[in-house]
This record gives sequence, structure tokens and C-alpha cells, in this order.
Amino acid sequence: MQISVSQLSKRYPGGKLALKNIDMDIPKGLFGLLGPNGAGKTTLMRILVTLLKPSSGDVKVNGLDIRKNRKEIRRQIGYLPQDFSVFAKLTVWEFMDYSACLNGILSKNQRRDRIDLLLETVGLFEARDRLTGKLSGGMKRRLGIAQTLIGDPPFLVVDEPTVGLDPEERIRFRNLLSDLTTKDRIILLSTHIVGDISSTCETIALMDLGRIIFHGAPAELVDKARGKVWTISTGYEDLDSWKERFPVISTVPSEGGYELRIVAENPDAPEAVPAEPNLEDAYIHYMQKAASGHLTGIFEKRNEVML
Amino acid sequence: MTPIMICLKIAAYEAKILLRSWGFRIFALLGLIIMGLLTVAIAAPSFTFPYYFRSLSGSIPLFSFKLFNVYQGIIVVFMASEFFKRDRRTDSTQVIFSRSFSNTSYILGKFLGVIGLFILMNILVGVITALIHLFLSDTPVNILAYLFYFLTLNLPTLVFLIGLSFVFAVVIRSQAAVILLGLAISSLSLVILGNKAYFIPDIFGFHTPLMFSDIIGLGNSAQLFQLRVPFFLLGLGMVFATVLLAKRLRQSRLATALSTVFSLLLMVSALIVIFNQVQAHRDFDSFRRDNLEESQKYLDSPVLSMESCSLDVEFSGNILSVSSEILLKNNQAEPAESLLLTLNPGLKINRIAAGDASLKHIREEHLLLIQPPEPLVSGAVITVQIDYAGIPLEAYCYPDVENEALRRPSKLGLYNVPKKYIFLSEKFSHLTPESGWYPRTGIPLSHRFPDAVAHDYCQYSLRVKLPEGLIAVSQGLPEIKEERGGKIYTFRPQSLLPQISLTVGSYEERAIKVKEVEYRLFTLPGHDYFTKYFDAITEDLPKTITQLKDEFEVTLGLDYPYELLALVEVPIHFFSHKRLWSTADETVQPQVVFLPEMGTLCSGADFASMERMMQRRGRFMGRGGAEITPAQIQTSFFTRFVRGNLLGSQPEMRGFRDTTLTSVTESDVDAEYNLMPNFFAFTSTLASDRWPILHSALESWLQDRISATSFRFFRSGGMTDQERTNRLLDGRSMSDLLADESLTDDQLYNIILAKGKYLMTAIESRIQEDNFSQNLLAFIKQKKFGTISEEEFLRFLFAYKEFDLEPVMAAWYAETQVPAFTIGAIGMYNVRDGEQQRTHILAPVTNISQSEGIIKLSIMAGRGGPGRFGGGGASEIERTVLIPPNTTKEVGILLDSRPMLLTVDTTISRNIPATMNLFMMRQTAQDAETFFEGERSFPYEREKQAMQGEFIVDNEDEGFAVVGDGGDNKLRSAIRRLFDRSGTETEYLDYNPNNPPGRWTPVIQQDFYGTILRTGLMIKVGEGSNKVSWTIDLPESGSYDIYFYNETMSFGRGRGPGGGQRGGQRGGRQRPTQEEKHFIVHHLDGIEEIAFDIQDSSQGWVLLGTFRLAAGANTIEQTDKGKGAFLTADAVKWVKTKQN
Repeated sequence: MQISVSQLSKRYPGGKLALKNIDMDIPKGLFGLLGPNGAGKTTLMRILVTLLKPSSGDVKVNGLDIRKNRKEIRRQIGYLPQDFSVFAKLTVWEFMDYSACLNGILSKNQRRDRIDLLLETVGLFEARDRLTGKLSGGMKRRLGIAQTLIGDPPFLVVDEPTVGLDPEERIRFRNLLSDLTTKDRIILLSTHIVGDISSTCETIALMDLGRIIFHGAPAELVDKARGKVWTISTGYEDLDSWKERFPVISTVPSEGGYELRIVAENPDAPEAVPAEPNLEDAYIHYMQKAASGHLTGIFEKRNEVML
Repeated sequence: MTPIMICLKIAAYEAKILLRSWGFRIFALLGLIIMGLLTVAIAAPSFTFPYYFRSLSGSIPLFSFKLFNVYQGIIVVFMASEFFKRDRRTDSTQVIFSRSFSNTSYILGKFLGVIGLFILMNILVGVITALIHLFLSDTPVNILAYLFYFLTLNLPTLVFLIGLSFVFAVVIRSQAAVILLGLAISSLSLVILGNKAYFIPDIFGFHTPLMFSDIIGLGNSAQLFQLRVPFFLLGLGMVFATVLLAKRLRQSRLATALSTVFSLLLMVSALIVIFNQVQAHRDFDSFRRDNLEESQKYLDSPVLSMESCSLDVEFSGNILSVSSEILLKNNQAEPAESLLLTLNPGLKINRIAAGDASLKHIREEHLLLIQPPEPLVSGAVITVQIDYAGIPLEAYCYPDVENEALRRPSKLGLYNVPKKYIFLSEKFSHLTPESGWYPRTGIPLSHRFPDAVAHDYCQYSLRVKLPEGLIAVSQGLPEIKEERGGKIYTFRPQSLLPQISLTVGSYEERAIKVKEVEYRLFTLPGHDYFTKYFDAITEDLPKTITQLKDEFEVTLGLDYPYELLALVEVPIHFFSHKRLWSTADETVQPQVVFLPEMGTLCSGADFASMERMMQRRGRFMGRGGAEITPAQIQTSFFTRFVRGNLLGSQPEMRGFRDTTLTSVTESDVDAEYNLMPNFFAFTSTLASDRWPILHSALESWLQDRISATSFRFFRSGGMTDQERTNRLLDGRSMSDLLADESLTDDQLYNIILAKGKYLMTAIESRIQEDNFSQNLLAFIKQKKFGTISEEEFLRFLFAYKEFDLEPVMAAWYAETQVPAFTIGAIGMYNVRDGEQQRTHILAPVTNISQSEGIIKLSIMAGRGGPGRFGGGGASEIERTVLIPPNTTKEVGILLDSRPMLLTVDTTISRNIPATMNLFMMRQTAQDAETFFEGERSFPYEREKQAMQGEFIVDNEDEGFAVVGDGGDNKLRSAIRRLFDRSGTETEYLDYNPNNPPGRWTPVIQQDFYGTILRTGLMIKVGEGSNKVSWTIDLPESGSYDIYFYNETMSFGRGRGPGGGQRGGQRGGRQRPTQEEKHFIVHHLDGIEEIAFDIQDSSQGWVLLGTFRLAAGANTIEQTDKGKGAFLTADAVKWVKTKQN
């Protein structure tokens, strides 16, 4: 299974350019697509799952052209969007059965076995007769992932799967995704939460303003931030001045002030102590570097980005 | 999984999701409950709904399916946006959309899911209706009716509306816009466009002609196919179009291509069907036009008379084959070069011969021109054999009736019954003369009217070969001969007849012979719903029949001339248009009357409801009233049915309960299946070249003899036919009107009827001979089964003081003025006539116009029998009085008993109301010494309407005005203007306190102020913003008494001397009243609003107050503020006070 994207652009009828000349290969395994809201992640994914037509460029899924071979490509795709509450009037089992039918599973027994297995896998077997409208946010996501797997597709696309979940559910969902990577398939995980991919993805891509600004292993991204992350102990009165000068990643209250973690080429302050960067630091650093004009936007998302 | 399986799975889940939505559940449940309750209401025998709502096996299901169709249509529109709402939540449906299936499978699946669910609901409605039908009503259940209605009515509507909704839902993003647009299209079709353009825009089939008959099924399957199939095709076409418009990227080129092809194919097919339909209507129109043009070519051709006609008929499926032999005679002075006959153009000529020699002939449309071996000289006869076969065309029938009137179904409340004139099938055939199923001489009478009215008489004989199980009904008692595989019916009517009919069906026959006349009843199997209601009077039936027959014959003055009277049940679709030149129509043939299936349109045929009512009344009477035996009840049912349908008319009391659903559709109470033509129209014809309409006049006069006075206590239906006809006659001559093509047939018919009655009454009044009527009747009897020539009629009249008809006829044709009458106070006196105490009525009536007029006085007098109005013992006395211009006539009438009601019918006049009822029950009789019976004339001296110093403004005067729209808001008045077809003439409504109008509306009430026009205005009590005003130009200033005219409904109290007191409440039911009126008086001291309590005011002028007024224009206003349920506005009077 291989997906290759070349010179992919998408312009919406209103004139908005959502994707600009994207070139990218998506290898097997869990692939993280990271970027702020509006970066173009969802557009890219909707093109990949044949819901949107690209304006230009090529996308090949296992060598199949996404424009010409929708039928075949759709057979190989499992897609989990952020929300699918509209089937609230169907029970968990019925919804899975509906999905199985749409996936072409002809035999009733086969469908039943497959559904039971998947519901067991995602921990929803006990809730199989419950209306989907009555499920919690986490259960819905698990049901969502179960329905993507109904046809055992080699290419899964998962959009913002952990938004709004409590930490326990979030970890549970991450583990579920990790388990799925053991198979020979691509899982494209789109998120703006760095923690979702830091522990699971082998490859990531950073998107901003419709462009891929980084494509590689998470460690490579972290390396790029080495020597650019600092911790500073400061008094209460200086917090604002630091915030004005540098992107502050975390602010931890300490005795007589705060312990700050900032991203800076050179903070030019004796109290600044170099720190070991993590993926989150690297993401902030890279975004700042790539689009310095948009830092403010990125920092407004700070709390979401931090786990 | 195949695309079909995927499609079905989507359908199943779509239905499941829809079924689980609360919106749908509430709609569905509510619909089923409402439909169930309504169906129970119409199915159970009662008078809440007219009989036709449930009389036929097709009535009850049609009611349910029709109403439910509209209801589900609205649901579909509301749910429309719901179908695709989920799809708009992009995140959600993308789970589904990213799967591998074609858009075609998806959309078709959705469509099947939605329609499946609605079909299920229709089945549920059908089952509920069938259960109610089966257990609550006594109407036969025919499952085919249910099936056909669903297929023709509900399914196409569903498919179309779902398709339309799908397209809207994918094209328009706003849910509200989709609903609004859907509702707008539905309402447009339902309310405005549905009955236009040959019913093509009727989405719901609400106006489409549709009714299932047990005899012939739908009867108009081809028309229904053309009307309903386009909706089905368009709906499916739009579903496939949705596949193309859907916002999901397509994955299968083949499916897309197929969807495109199907969509186009379906829509184009729908358009082709629509086009064909329009073309068929155009062909229909041009066919009829061609027939007319063809006839006109032979307008002056001599018409031969048919002396005898022998028809040998065979049916083969829907093909009619006839071998005929006709004897033609040339009664004209000139030799006839060719023999001109008329035959339905659908029947093709196979052979024409005279003896062994074939005759040359030309067939042009419906006309057949046969060339005799040699010209037929005057008085000569020729026998011609004509063999013909084919399917007679309905388009040929009623050439004189407007095409639209033929297309328009007969409206029975919610039902639109298709009109059919010819029936020809293996199981049922029905051929009346109008169908042109046998040759007749000359061009059709319809093409000759009004230049010719008369017909000739012929000796008919008919031989019909039928398979086993079928019965033939025609004129005369048949000889039936068994033959292998069937029977041969031979009819040889004893007397000459003007026409012949043939009806064949699998009838059940009942017969009874009473005094030389054989009465036969032919009904269809399963349609005997009536026998059980007459089980107690079987033995007395001959007596009752004799009584009814004798009563009718004595009243009319003519005897029933035939040996047979057959009542034959025919499909509800059989329709007969009134003919302008005769009271006879196709429902009544010589010796045979065709009654609609299950007596649906017959008066008093709802025996079940009548029995229920009688049982209730019986219980009521059990507490002190007289006992009514079952036999009495059954006799009253029988008598009512016979009188109400066959013999003249039934006096009918009408109440206020006229709502949309319960209103009686007949415009008058005349019997629909009046036997009258059997007494005159079919036995004699008055042939006059100069005054062809004379025959109609004579017929109208006879008809009037048996028309019982309609003692209507309340007006209903707005202006009466008589009042409308009088308006048409005012200022126009009969010659003008007969030539006026803009008049409708109904209008012309009423004109001929009114003028006909008037003419004969005028002749009778001029001759002033007591025995004139009897002598005229004897003259008619003498001429039975033949033609009365003009000369013979003139000779008959000449015998009376050398009476000359010519000036009377000349005036009758040329008179343009219509008289007007005023009625003075009716005097009632106790007088002694020899030893007998009698009541003397003195009625002064004045003709205040410059033209002669006739009034008819009818008195209902009690005989002291039980019940209201003397129960069944009430008697009627009638006087017809000719009143010359500017003359008062006092009519003296002596009665043996107390009068209860005096009705003054002003016949042709400008009076509104044209008929006035004067209630005399509470009027006190004064003692008098002298009396007279007859008429006394006095010259009428035109009085000044108002005294010196008195000024009156009535609502019909120029000074009266409705301020603004009189209560309509802008939208309402715009809609009113849009639908107002009344032209500039004022349309009056009825004075109905139970349902007063929301705006100041002209109403008719005889107690209003006025000489000729007794009208006022009425409104529901409101907030005071809707006003009327009376303005007068006063010559001098000063102090004036201002009066308003107060009317009170005169039911239940006397008028004239001693009248005027308020009537008591009847039966404990509180009638809505007006209690307080609000006036605004503009006077010299300012403006004053007066709330005037009128509860104790009596009929007539009521003093409002005395005011100082300036010379010039002065206005009084009345608002819609007040107390009570309604308000009226009539006239205002200003009287200068003496203190000035």
C-alpha cells in the first residue's frame, strides 16, 4: 500500500486556495498530519477519500488515479470524520450492519461475525443495542473507527479523533490506533494535537496554509528544535515581558514567580537554561520558523496543542 | 453485494431512520387517527354527511384516499428537506459517501425507503378504511376500488412529490425555502390550477374526474392514465435527475449514464403523454366543431319523418352491430333528392339497401346522405336497410353543450365523478338517443335549436341478442326467446315513440303490476340495500302506488300513457345535460327512468339515515307524541322517494346547516328524474315554424302545474336561479337572449322555463275562462302520440273569444321591461259564508312598473293535523294573477282553515327577494261582514315615497357607501378581487345570523326596508373599524329626527296588521341576535357616537335621536362595533322636526 501525492492543489469555488502544490508520499504505518485549524488537513483528507475533486495535481492510491478509479479506491478506504451523530436513530449494531452492507459484505453470517469482532475490539459489544445518539463522545469515536474497519481496508483516514475526549478515552483511542498499525495498512491521522502523534506515528507531515512545511520522522523534527528550547525562572512582574518577546510553551507557577518554557534562537538572558526539546516544542519552533507571521495564531492554540 | 442489494439495504435503513423520527411518527399517527375518525363519520348512516359520501362502493375509499393524499403530500413536502438534511452534515454522511457504491444506488435506495414507508401508510389507511367500510356502512365493499384509487391517485402523487422534493433538497440549501416552495406548488395545484388545463396540473388528483363504479369500474381509465402517469414518470425522472445533481462525486460512469438516460427518457415520456392528452382534447374540440359545421351545411335540408324503425342489435365486446330497417316518409311539399340521416360517426356503415338494391350514400362526419333510386315525392315512403357497426364516440354527444361542460366532472362534494354518455362493454351497455346509436332523420336537434324544437313519432321495434346472464331493458315489455348460448329480447312498444334506448346489464329484476301498468325495477347484484326498508309495506305497495299515481295525474291533468314504467340502475358516471328545448333529459326515456347507482343522487334514498332519524324521533314521540308504526314509516320513505325523484317536486324545508360538506348540491328541489316528459314531451309535440319555442312554453306550463310551491323558510345559496334569471331578463328581449351566445346553457334554460311559464299564464289570464286549463289539457290528450300543429293550437285558442296569439307572441319575444311589485298589508278576516265560518284573506299587490306582470300567491293552510305546520295535513291554495302596469290588484281568497303562510312569488320581476313569505300563524283575524273571492283592480297612483321634510337613504341608494373594504384586510381583498367573477353586479348573500360575513356584505331579507329591493348589509360584530355610511343632501339646516330601519327576521310571527312583535324563540335553541348597534352622527354640535340597544325595538323605523344639522351633505355612520353576534345596516331617515 502506497499513496503518492504530487503537485496537488485545491481551490474552492469561492476562490479560496486550500491546498498549494502538495508533494508527498505516505508510507505504510501510522502517518500523522499535524497543523493548525485551516491549514488544509481536512481538504487533503477529503480528496484522499474521494469526497472532493482536486483542482490540479495527482493522487495515486496503490497506483490508482483518484480521479478515474473512485470505485476501486473507495473499496480500500475507511474514513472516520470528526462527527457522525446523524445516525442517532440507529443502534450501534444496526449502524455497523448498514456500514457492512455498504461495504458489500453479502453474507449475513459474515456480517454478523465481523461486526461482533469489531465491536469486541473497540469495546462496544455490550453497547451494541444502544442507539448511537445515546453514546458518549469516546464511544462514538470507537464506533467510528469500528465502521472504518468493517471492510478491512488498507487505508484508514482518521480526522481529529481525540478532540473533546477525556484523557483516559484519548489514551485508549491512541492505543487502538497503534494496535491497528500492526497490520499492513496506512493510517492517516489528522490532528492539531501534537500528543496524539508524538507517541504513535512513524512519519509525520506538518501543514500550514495549504502547504506541507515538514515531512519526515518525528525525531527529525525534534532535532531541528535542539538548542532552541529554554527554561526560565522569572518573577511575577516579568511574565508579560517574556510573553511579548518569545513564544511561551508552558508557564508553571513556582515560588516567587513562574517557571517558563520558551522557544528562541537565543533568549539573550543569563537566567535562560537550555532544555531538551520534545515534539511539541519542535512543532512550535517549526511553525514559528515557517510562518513567523502566524505565530500569534499558533499560540492562541497553545493550550490545545499541549497535552 | 450487487448494486441492487446495496440499493435495497439503503432503502431499508432509510425507511428505518425515517420511521424512527418523531416528526414522521407524529405526522403519520395524526393522519391515521384523523382519517379514521373522518371515515367513521362519513361511513355511518346519518345526515351529518350527504348520502353520496358513502353510497357507492367507491365512495368511502375515495374519501379516505383523496384526503389522505393531500395530507401525505404535505408530509412529503415537510419531510423533503429531511431526506437530505443528513447529507448536508458533511462530516457525518461522508462515512457513508466514502464507501464504494454508486450515487444511483444511494438515491434510488433513499427513494425506495421513503416511498416504501409512505406506501405502507397508504396500505394502513386502506385497511382501516376497509374495516370501517365493512362494519359501519351498508355499502358494498369492492377491493378493486381501493386498489385503483391507490394506483391512480396516491401513488403518482407520492412519486411526483418525492421526486420534486429530492430535486429541491439537493438544489436548494435552505430547508425553509424547500418547504415553502413545496407548499407553494402543492397549494397552487390544489387551489388554483388543479381544475385548469384539462386537469393536467392536478398533482393530488383532487379535481381529476375519478369515481369507481361497481358496474363499470373507473370508467375513464384512459383519461386517468393520461392524467396520472405523467406525475409518476416525472417523479421518477426527477429521482434520476437527483442522482446527477447529488453532491457526491460519481464513481460509476455506467450508472451515471443510465441515470441520465432514464431521467431524460422518463421526463420526455411524461411530456409526450401530456402532449398527447392536450392533442386529444384539441381533436375532441375540432371533431365537435367539424360536426357542427357539417350540420350547418344541411340546416335548410328537408327533414323526412321516420315512420318506423326496426333494429336488430348484437354486441361483441365493445363493438355494437346493428341491422336496421327504417321506413321514411316525405311530409314536405317538395320531392326529396336525398335522405338525410344522422348516426354516431363512430359507427361505420356496412350496407345500405332498399330491398335488394344497394343505395349510394355519402358519409360526412355524423351525417348520412342516401340517394334513393328516385326522388321521394311528397307523401311517398321508402324502406331502407342500414347495417352498421363500431364503437359510438362520446365526443358526438351533446353537440349543443360547451366542450368544457362535457369535460368538467359532476361535482359531488369532495368527489368529481367523470361524465359518461355511452357505455359499451361485455358486461354493461347503455345507449340513449343522445349517443346516436340508431339512425335519426335530419341533422341533430341540437344543431337546429332554437329554430326547431319538435320531434316526430315512430313505431320502433328492437331485437337484441344477448349471452346468458345479461338482461336488456328498452321501451315496451320484451318477448324473451331462449337460444343456444343466450337469449333474444324483442321489444315492440305499443305506442309511437319519439326515441328509443337500450340498456344491457346483469340486472336483478323486480316487477309489480298495478292497474294496467307494469312497474319494473332493475338493480345490480349486491345493490339491494333498500328491500329491508320496505318489508312491512309489500302488501300495501299497489295501494300506495295507485295513490301516488292518481295524485300526480290529477294535479297534472294528464294520464300516464304507457303500459310500462321501468326504473333502471345505471353507473354513477352516466350524466345527462339539460336540454334547452325540453324538460326531458337522457335520464328519463319513454317508459324508462335511469337512476344512479345505489340511488346516490336520488332524493330520500338514504333509507338507513332516515330510519335512524325516525327511530330517534320515535323515541322522542314515545314520551307523549303519537305512535308511528313501521308501516307508516316505510310508506313515508316510499312516498318521499317517489315524489322527490319521479313526481314533480317535493316541498323541502331547508335549515341553516349548509356548510361546505353538508350543503345540498341541487340548486332547486325539482325532482331530478321527473316522469313529466312521459306525460307530454314524449307523447306530443307542438310544432310551430314561427314560434318553435311554443312547445317549450307549453311544457314549462305543464311542469309548473306539478311543481309544488317551495315553502322555504330560510333562504340559502345566495341569489336564487329565479332572481338571477330575472336580472338577465331585465332590459333584454327574448329574441336577444336566445341569440346571445355568451349565456350559459343553464341561464338560457332558466330563461326559457321562466318565460315559457309566463307566456302560458299570460294567455290563461287574458282568456279568463275557468275551464281553459282543463280544455287545454283535454286538447293535449286528444293529440297524444302525435304532433300538434301551430294551426291546430291557434284554432284551439281562437275558440276563446277569438283570442289572437300573434300580438301576445310578438310582445313575448320583444318585451324588454320587467315589472316590479309591492305587496300591501295582508288582511285576514273571520267571515260567515252561509252557515260556515271561514277565513277571508285579502292580499293587495301593486304593479308599480310600466310593464305587465304576473304574481303567484300560495297559501299554506293547516288542517289541524299533528306536528308542525299541520304535519302532513297542510293544504295549498294557489292563485295566479296578471297585473297590468300601474295597477293594484286585491286578491280575495276564502279558506276553510287558518292560513299559516302566504307566499308571494313575483315570477318575472325586478323584486329581490323575488319570493316573499308572510307568516300568518300569529296574525289575529278581524271580524268582517263582507268578503269576495277573486280579483279587484284599482289604478295605482304613484305615491311619494317620503313625506314632506322626510329624507330616506337606503342601502341601495347613491348616498349609501361601505367605507374602505368594509372589513377586508389588504391580502383578503386582493384575493377576493382575484377570484371575484361576479362582474359589476351586486351578488347578494343570505341573511344568515349563524354565519355572518366578516365584511359588510349585501344580504337579502324581506324584512329590510325597500320597495323592490329588500336588501341590507350584514357583518359579524367587530372592533368598530369597519363602517358604512348614509349621506343626504339636506336642503335646509335645522333640527332633525334621525331614524334607522330595524329589521327582524319574520319567522314565527305575523306581519301586516298586528305584525311586528318580536317572534319567540323556537325549540329552545338560542338564535344569534343583534343587540346593540353603534352609530356615529355628524351634527352641528360635533360628532357623537351612539350605542343603541335594539333588543326591544320592533320592526320598522326606530328613532336614534334628534340633532341640529346644517344644510348640505350630512352623514350618519354605522360601525361594526356592537353587542350580539352580528349587525345589519339598512336605511336611515331624516325627518325635520316641527319646532323648527
